[in-house]
Amino acid sequence: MTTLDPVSVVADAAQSRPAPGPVRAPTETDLSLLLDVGSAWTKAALVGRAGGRWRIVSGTAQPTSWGESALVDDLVGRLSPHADARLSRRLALLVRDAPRITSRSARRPGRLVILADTQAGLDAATRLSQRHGWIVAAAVTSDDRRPEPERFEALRTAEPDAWLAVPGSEADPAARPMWGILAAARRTAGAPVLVVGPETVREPFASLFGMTTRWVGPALDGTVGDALLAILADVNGVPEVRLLAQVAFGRSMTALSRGIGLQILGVDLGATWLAWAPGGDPAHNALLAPGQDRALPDGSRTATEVLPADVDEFAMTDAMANLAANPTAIPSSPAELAIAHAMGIDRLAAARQAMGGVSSVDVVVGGGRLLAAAPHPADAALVLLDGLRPPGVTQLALDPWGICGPLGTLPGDEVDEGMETLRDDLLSPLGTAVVARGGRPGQLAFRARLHRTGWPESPRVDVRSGSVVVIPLERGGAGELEIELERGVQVGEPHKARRLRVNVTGGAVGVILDARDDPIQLPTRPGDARTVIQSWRDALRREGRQVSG
Amino acid sequence: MPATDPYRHQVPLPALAEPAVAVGSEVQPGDELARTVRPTAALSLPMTRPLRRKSAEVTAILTVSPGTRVRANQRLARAGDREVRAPSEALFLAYEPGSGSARLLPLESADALRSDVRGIVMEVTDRTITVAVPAVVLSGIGGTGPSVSGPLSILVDDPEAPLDPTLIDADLGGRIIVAGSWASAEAITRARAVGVAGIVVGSLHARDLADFAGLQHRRSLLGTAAPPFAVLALDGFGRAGMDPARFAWLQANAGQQATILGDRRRLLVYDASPAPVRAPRPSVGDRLVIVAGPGRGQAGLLAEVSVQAMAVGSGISTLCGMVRLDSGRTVSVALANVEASLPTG
Repeated sequence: MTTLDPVSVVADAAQSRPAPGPVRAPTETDLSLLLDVGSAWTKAALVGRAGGRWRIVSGTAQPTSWGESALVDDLVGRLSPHADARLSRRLALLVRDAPRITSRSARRPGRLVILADTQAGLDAATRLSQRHGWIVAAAVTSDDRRPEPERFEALRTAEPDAWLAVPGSEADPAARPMWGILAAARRTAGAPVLVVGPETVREPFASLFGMTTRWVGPALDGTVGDALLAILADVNGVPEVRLLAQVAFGRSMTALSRGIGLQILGVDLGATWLAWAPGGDPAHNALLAPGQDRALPDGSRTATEVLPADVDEFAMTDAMANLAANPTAIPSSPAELAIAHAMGIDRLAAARQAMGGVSSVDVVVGGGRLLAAAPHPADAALVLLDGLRPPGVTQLALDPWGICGPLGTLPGDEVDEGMETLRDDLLSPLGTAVVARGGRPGQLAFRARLHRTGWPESPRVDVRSGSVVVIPLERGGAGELEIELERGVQVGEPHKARRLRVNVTGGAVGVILDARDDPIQLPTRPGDARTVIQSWRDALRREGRQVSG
Repeated sequence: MPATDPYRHQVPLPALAEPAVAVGSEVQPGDELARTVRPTAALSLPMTRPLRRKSAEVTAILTVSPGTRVRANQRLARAGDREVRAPSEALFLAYEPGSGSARLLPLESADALRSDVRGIVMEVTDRTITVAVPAVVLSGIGGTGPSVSGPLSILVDDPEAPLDPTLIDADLGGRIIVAGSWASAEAITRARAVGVAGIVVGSLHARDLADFAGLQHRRSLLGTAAPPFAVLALDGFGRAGMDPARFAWLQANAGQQATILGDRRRLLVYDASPAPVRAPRPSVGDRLVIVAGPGRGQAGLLAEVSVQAMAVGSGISTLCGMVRLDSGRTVSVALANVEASLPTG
């Protein structure tokens, strides 16, 4: 039976290396292959049963363009040195023929044209569609004050995958010129028309637009979102919505939240798509398409302003453009890596703004190659912290093998079963983050002391505003953190108490005490900003502490 | 030498466009593919009085439905021997009972949709016209501008040589000029000014490309008449050289007619020899080109592939390969950052 040291698996997962021995190959050959086929990278995890338990025995990630054969060869190559000699000749065949659970990223977003009676209707429809993997190619409202020729021109060259009609009233569409414009622009046998409005408009719209018209419901809600996802899957050749990687990721977060009884926010930061999945609130899952301009939170610095390296503007925009144009490319220098991470922080911050902020949750789970392949787990932690600024006390973890997506494709209750089955290997804990807001730069923000049963008393740690400090706490470790807040400083929801005691768990980084406020305040001079940013990186990478005098 | 499989160039047709070609038609750049119309100011056509009907009764006697394109004098409604007809070619948008009028969008002839390419029409639908183009296609990574055509002129001898502005003069008007590594904003501006049709280089600064695209857009909004001009970067952003295999192929096809589809980031070279092909995941012994990271644009031979993942300069662990560059150096490169460069398709 295959045996693996679980701590080694987790510690190496972030480095995308296979687990070391000691390993004995299974004499039984129960294997499954979990595949997350992304737009740029495919992540594969080989799962084997040992001693009645399923564990990850090998994993890899490769550019999707390399194809399946190269992926299987790589898996076999990683497994071979540890495999029982009796299986070595059959190993390639076993891996190739292993049952597969596959999630697949959409190749492209859906293109939508929206016609709404009011600007408010259009805004709501736009937000809803953008959260379900669509881009709005064109839009018209009856109160946009544009003349009809202009409205028609806006629509006639659109080649949408669907039209979304949001009539605000029960008036017969045949009596409203705007819907005549839609009929003319759409032509016969065009893309489906989704109608959201009073049920009384159902028949008239069907009469006007024919068989491909579908009345979805009276309101712009989850029903419309489901309809959009179904069309998106169809456009991308994915047979079922749950097989879309980003939808599957959301399902797995919901299952995980149920399974461990904690509030979770999952973010899958892919090369092109970004999946947003508050596991405790699946109605607010989102699938954010690439290439959309999204606002950053007020006061945020853009990626170009938060680089630790001294990179000139041309080199920076070139590097960003190259990374965007070639998403399989691996950053090959510290500067390129810093740029890639800064872009990731930007994307998370913009998504956070678009989704109305990050509520206080128990766990943040980060997925996607940018995080999983980070050279140091502290780098991944910093991307999550800087992009999301999760308020209060939050455990941070990664999906290092990329298996949350494939597991999320399982039908019905099997998702819960799958997540539970691989619970030990599912996530790579980074530790616990305490994010404080308020305080004056350079002044003491709070003091903290970690209490661990059976351990000597640990020294108190002073955390100054604008700084980040790490208290070492290994994976599997747990303790109680005593926090003493200074005036004007809050951790989580505002409350009167100045002393808190919170439970914390350890991980690859430890307990991260973050007093950098939200939005993060940086010195105005670029050189000073770079120095400060580098100091944060060093603090997270180094298990250090500040001790009160 | 003739191209291999023809390139299928698909032209989307806007609503109301009418194809002016049929399957089998030969087209040249500038030939009419479709007739188009544009809507003019909408008008309201009274219906109740001519028909002698109450407003609510007119809906039932309409003979056209909303969204229909009607011809001049086409009947819109009929009540016994009374009719209402369209005053001109138009889109029938709706009958508005509140006003007792039909809302029409009159149409007038607009500029024809013209071909960007030379070839033979192979498919005509109400939404697209597809042209089989006897050309080899190179896909780029960045570009801007409409379609432009002209003979290829190679201005440098080295795939790593930039486009020198002093080499650009009026003799190059109407041509597509090719350089190795990159083109400065000055070179782009000068080329446009002397009437060059377009520029093809290995790389461009992303900032320069964005600035130029913005300038083109502003000029189009102002209606400033200017000859079309396009820019295409084949391999990346920055100042890296062009893939030597591609550069050699372009040199071999100097003088051939070509078309840049700037906004689609493509170069079509007519009647050209088959172009070198890129493929992911080279094998040991393959020629390759570095497509990302340090050394981008340089070519060489893949000598060895690591058995285990190795850390690259950023600290990320990944499969790497030892590449013997044409320059003589041997470097370690992430395999994800290289592509096989195969001689022909």
